[in-house]
Amino acid sequence: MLKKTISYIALIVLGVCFLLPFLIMILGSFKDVQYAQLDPLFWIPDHPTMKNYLYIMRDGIFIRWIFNSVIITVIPVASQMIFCAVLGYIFAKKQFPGREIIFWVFMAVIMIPQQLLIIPKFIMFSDFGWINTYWALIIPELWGIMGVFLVRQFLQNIPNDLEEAAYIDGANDIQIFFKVILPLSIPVVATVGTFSFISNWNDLFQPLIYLTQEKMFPVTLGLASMLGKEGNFGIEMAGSTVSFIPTFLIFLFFQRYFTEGIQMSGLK
Amino acid sequence: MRRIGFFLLLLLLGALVVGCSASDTDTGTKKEETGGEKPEVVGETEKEAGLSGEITVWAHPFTGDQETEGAMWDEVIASYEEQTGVKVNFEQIPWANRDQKVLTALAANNGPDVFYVIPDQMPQYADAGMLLALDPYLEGFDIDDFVDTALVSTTWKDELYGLPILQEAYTYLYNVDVIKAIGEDPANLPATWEEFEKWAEKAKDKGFYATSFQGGGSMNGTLYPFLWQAGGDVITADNEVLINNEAGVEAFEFINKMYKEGWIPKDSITALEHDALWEGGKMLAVQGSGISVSRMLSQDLFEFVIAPPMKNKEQLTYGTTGMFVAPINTDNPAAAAEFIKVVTNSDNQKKFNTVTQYIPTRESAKDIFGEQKYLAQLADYTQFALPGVIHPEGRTIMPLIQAELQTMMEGKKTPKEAADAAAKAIEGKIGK
Repeated sequence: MLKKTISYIALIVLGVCFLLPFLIMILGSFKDVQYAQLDPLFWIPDHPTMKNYLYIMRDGIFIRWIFNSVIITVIPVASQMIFCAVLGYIFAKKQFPGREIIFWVFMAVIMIPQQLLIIPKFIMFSDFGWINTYWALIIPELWGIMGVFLVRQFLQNIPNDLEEAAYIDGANDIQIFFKVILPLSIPVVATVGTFSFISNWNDLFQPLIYLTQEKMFPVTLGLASMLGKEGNFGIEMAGSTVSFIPTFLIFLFFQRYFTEGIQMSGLK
Repeated sequence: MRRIGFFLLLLLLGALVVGCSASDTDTGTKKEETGGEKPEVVGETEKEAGLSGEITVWAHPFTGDQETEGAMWDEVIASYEEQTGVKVNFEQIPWANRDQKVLTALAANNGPDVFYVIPDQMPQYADAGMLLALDPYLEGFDIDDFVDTALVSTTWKDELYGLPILQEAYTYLYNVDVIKAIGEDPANLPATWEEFEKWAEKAKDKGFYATSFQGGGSMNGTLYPFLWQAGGDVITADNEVLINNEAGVEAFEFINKMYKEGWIPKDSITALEHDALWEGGKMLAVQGSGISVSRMLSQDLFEFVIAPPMKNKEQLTYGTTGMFVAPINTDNPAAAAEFIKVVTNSDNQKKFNTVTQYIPTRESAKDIFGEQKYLAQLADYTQFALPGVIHPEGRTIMPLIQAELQTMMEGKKTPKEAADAAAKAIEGKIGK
């Protein structure tokens, strides 16, 4: 009993620690102040105001930023879910010469720091005329080796008997993928989607490099461009709250798949 | 449901068509014609022939009020466009990761024609040959109106690469209640190290800290002001390391004394701020600038007074300078140089600094703070404000010096040993 009580107390303390920043963010978004203070009493808004939300929504540009974020997030998410499932299946179940070498060469790409690629990518995108367009943010994100790795790990745990039984029943490769493998892979594919969503939605660095026109900014970059040198606590918190909601909802709806996918792909 | 799906698909396709086409003002293709080659330095000929074309200008959000700031930029840009006939594509770039953004765009020959930099960046870019020297474009230009200290950071190896638009001056803000509590006069603030030491001792006796010391922060706010006041410096443009000369050691000793005597808080070795102590009325003074004044006025916690920068052998302090520069690979150098001249002229500096609450770098523009006594006072002190260490390694040597300063404060090195070790580390960094 004592052990259980202690673990509950520990969990509650941990829970509060994790929730506190979110609470400060939400409460802070209703405060009309430029600077934050350390005093815990400061966090409670004495005169709650919507001023910060009205400010960020003031001329419709924020809606445009949300729309841009949706475009540069939804397309890569959908594409990654499809490509990673297909490629993960191929690397997990299909036998062909050089399979392991090709896979590990792909995996090695992860080791190259993003910063090292940014100038060659910028020059290439510039030559393509992709600067200040969605292309620069969508095309490189259409698939990701990390997602392929997750799906491959997950599918390696699924017995080959299922596939073989489907063959005996007369199914071809495409039918097996869509009718046998994909339904079984939903948790890991949802995990890939969630990872992709979080990474694309929250990305500040790439939009910062490839975009200069305000109308093309996603939310992250738009918010950063709104803040003066000294920042503004209330506006920062309001912007963060709005930007956080989609990620929170996605995680909330796909939480079950997300946990399951992480567990079954061995990524813990 | 299908109709909604079809509508959403249509919307998405429409958005893609719009969002995936580079617009006319896109900087994505503007350098293709020049192929990134260094432009010919153009003097009078092109200026006489008149300016034309368009330029792209990158600036950052200086305030949280984008409407007022945007209106100010519209006005400034209109004055330039009217005067020159050159079209300006103004793009506001976030402060975050600005170095990566600017360097990537310039390296790819696809950057702006004019952009904003601070003193840390200018010598790095200039030393790498990335900036356009402005001297050929400044014939007959009234440069004497600029505050001398503001021009320090715009020059590298005798070439002028930028014109300053804003300046700051860091100096001590004193809590009037604490001054009274230690029996001193707020109208007669310490002007020298010696006077400050006396006040600090009294403050300590009454249970206050004398001042803040952010040992975990930039050297511009810790060692450097004392170093300059002692008559020293860190390094010259010719790579002569001065930090461990007599003046340098004196500055290290003064900081060591402040820490050992308990005039600054115990956590000063690594602290990044002491806001709670200052705002809680437990500190006699803090170093601050215009931003600190705005913050104090907005919080209205207690009465404060501003002292002139302190003097030991020299009366100097730190104060950053913001300037506009043009890259060497701009395809419209004359128009870019002209924009820099126009944006930093007296009228436009008044507009800019009235909105941003920084201090103009032209003497003729300094009257904007007539009614605001604190800012007017700070504007007077920019003549003493140095912009940091103007050297391509200015920023990278900071952690080396900081480490030695911290070691000294921990009591593991004497001030002389710490200064010598800092000098050795700097020499190692610059490959001397």
